[in-house]
Amino acid sequence: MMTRKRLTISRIAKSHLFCFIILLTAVSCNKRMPLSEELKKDAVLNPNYASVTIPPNIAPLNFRIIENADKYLARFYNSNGIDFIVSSGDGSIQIPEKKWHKLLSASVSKEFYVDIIVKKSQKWVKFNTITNYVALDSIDKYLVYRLIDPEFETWKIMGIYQRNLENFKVTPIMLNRVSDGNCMNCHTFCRNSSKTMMFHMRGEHGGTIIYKDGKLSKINTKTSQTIANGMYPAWHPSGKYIAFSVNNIVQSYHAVPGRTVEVYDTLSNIVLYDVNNNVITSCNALSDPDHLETFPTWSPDGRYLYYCCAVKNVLKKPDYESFMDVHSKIRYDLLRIAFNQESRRFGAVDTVLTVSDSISSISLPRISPDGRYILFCKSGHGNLTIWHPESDLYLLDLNTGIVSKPDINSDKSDSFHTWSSTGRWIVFSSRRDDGLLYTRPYFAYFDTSGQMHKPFVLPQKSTEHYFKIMKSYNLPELVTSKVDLNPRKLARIIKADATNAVFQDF
Amino acid sequence: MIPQINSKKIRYILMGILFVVYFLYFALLNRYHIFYLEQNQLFIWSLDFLKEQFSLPGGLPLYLGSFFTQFFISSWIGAFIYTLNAFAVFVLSFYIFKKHYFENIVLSFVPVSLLTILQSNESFAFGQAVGFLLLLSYFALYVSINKSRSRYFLFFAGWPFFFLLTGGFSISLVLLCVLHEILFRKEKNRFIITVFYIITGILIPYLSSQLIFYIQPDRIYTYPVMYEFHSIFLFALILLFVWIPLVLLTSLILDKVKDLKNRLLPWNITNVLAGLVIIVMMAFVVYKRSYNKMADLMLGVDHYVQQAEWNEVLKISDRYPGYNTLVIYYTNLALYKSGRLLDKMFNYPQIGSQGLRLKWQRNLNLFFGGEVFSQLAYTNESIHWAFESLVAKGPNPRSLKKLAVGFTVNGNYDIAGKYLGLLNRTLFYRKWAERHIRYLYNPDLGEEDPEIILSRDLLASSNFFSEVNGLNLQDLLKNHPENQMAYEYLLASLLLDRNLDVLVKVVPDMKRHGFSRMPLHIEEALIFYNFFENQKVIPEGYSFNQATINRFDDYARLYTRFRNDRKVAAYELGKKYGKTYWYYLQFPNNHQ
Repeated sequence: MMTRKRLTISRIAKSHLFCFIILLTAVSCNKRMPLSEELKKDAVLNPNYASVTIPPNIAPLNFRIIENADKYLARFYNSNGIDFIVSSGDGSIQIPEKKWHKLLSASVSKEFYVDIIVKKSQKWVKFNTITNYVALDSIDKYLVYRLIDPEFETWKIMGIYQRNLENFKVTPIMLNRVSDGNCMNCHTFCRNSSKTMMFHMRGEHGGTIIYKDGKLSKINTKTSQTIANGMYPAWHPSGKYIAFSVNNIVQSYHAVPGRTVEVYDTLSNIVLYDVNNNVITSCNALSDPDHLETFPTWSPDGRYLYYCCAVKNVLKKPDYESFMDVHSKIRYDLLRIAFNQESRRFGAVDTVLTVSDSISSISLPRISPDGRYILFCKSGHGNLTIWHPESDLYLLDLNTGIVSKPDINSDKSDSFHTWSSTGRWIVFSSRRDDGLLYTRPYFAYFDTSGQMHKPFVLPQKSTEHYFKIMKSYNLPELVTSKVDLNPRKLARIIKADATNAVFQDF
Repeated sequence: MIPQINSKKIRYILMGILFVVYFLYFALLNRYHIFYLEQNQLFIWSLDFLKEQFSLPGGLPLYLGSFFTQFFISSWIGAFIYTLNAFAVFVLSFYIFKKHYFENIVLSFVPVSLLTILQSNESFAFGQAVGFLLLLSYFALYVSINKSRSRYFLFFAGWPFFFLLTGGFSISLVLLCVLHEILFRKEKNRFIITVFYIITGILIPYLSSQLIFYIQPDRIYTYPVMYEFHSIFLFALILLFVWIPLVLLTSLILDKVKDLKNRLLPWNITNVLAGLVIIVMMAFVVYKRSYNKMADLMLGVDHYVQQAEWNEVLKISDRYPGYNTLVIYYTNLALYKSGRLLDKMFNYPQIGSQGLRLKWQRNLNLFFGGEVFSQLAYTNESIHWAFESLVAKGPNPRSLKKLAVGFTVNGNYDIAGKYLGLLNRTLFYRKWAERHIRYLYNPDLGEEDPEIILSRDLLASSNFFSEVNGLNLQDLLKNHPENQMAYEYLLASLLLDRNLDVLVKVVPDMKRHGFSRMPLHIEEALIFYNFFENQKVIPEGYSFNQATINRFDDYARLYTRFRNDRKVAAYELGKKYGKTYWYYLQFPNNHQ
């Protein structure tokens, strides 16, 4: 009797489970879309993931349909027969990861499509089909970034994180809650390798943390002959050297809407740190008292150090009415200096690109891994262009000398950028979403013909993520594999005394 | 023979009186502390907020503390919540002591007194008191179990979770359980069990710091207990945690000396009177050593500024003894807002033009200092201060409101929406947020909001950099000569800086700014200037009041009489003319 009853319960449970699975399949993945009327207009998506080129290994591009409706359906399909539907009651389209990756794998070097229909007043209406393109080239698997309050002067909670771009997993590399809340900045990698990294700690446990060959060290890069601690860094491709700018930084605050803070240097030089010998050096050209040198970056062959340089004496001229005028006259050009890595000696200086005479300023030059292109920021003046709404990314073809403005910019600040290890993808910081304060990492495909494709923001699991998060994504860097560091590993070295770097004359 | 008394009746009456006094102490004497605590945090109804609170051990008291603190929007409710918490602490302490053969009201009231001391400090968040209550609750539950296996189970299965939920508050529970087992239980294996208790108490936090939480190793056993106090507050905090173990030990010792215990504990008049004396002494210590009237008045000024009750601000300023930068800064603002700045500002203490704003410092100044910029319609600087305060303090209603308004005025609706989204998920700021969200979708609606319309009208179009120590009043006036507050503040700053040469150049604009008569302190300044510089500066359309001229003549006569002894002059003139600009000008160290 008991056994029969148990069997009956088990049968009912199974049949319920079966019905539930059928229902779930019907709701989530039914290939048949209801009959709908063509609206002949584009759906508004947030984030805007329409007509974008994406890597075949990116996480699902979840989005929200900005339309008042009772029900929402999004059908994802390609020409290879992959076809699935995601439904939503509130417009938030959460794409199942497995189906997404199957769609991308089957769409490499091809397009895939998204049909969006919504139910309004008992009637289904369809927006124009969205066509996205899946590039052949994968993107580096990890994105490392710092999450900070859009920095003015105060900080409290911050961390350096790594995000697996193939899914939504985020792990912290360093959190300032394990280091008495001090500031940290300028995380940088050598040739997109997660094995060679550095970042600065500021404040109580100040020093530069260097991670190389599986070992951690902490260096004090301030010497009696240099004006400050190392700031903006660039790893030499050999991993033996790091070029740092050393800056005296000042912040001022604008009064008009649309502008916030102005960050500029009153002193600025470039020094070279020899990682193996713990030696800091420089040369006259890189520490010219009449010039401001900053934002170093190496050519991939390591034979040239590129940097930005401005005439400093505008700061001294008395004929300007106010400081407001003075700062806006500091404009940087792009220079390079030859370097011999065997002898650790710098050579002659060349001017690569002059823009200061056209009321422009260059900052953050970054050279593509093949050495052919330099992507840089251009703005009206100054160097920390994240705070300049007019800042845009420009591309210099070193073979032809032609400068172009790729179609990836917005009317807001588009700034800090890095290349992927293959040179086929770039990531950059943009304030296009809220216009002023919170930066978001955008990716753009750079094809073999030298064309940039429409960028897209880092996908998130929650479509509300960018609205809710009160932090900026700062210094996005692409790395090929996971960084084998976490706050626990770093906690010990953070509190250790820093080893003083030794200055040696050139 | 000492007469015995009805212990229950006395107990209830005594407790009733004590908790009424406790309630009134916070409701009346610390009401602005309560308001301030509410302004310092924001309880958000969201999963993200919950997750954030539990990202480190000890999330439960912080979460509950924040939940209850949101009701501190009313000081009466705040005081009531404090009292409920204190009552629960008292009952649990009493129960715990009773379980350890030490039934005594006075001893049970000590933790309440210690909490009173701590809660008199505005840095002591309510979550800390909740943490202590949770600790007592768990221990009371533990000692209530007679069956040893059930107790052991409660510890080994429950304590690790209790640690995850309450963090550092759970650590002293290990000590309490160990003492209870060793001193008050007779089980044979109690020594081995307590060794395992200690191992658990050390191991679980350590493992959690290695596997679950990212936290500094030296903070895993204490977080989130706040111990950054000094003087009596630090002493009270330490005593709060050691009091119960101390009583348990004392109880054991007294138990050995039965005679002493019999003499100490019975409810007779001597003991009740002795107990009352002790409680009164504790109350005296609380009042004398931890009650900070000045701080409460200062926070009161801040409270009324936020409510725009300018007369209330001035009433408290009148009662505030001595110099306080924050009080002076807010008093000047209240004087302007009530139309009395240039007539009455020298009736109050002044410290020069730095009394018109707070210094830029990474401390509480960030929280209070932005008010003057938003009142001046200097929107970018108001945003700047509010943002820095938000970063330093974490989400708080004041900074979020300032940011939402600032970015709405500037037309950055997406950013304003972000801050309004947070406020929209709170209990008491939802309505405000809903109203302001409507402005984002329909900017014309914002024109009905006086704060937004004024700031929009006075938006800067010609750029300038903010001054480190000033208010950019000249720059604001260059942008909008009609900025009334900027103009009056400019006059005030020139008076405060004793810069009469520039003042005489600025006063002609008074007509344009709608002054029907010359404000008293301007009149005083010009009469003084004309007298000393042998000038005849009288702004067109104005004249000096004869009474003021007569008063100046009298002032000058007195000054001449005592000019050889500056101390005497300061004293004599101060009696009659201490609230005039002349006195401020000539006796900078004696004013007020």
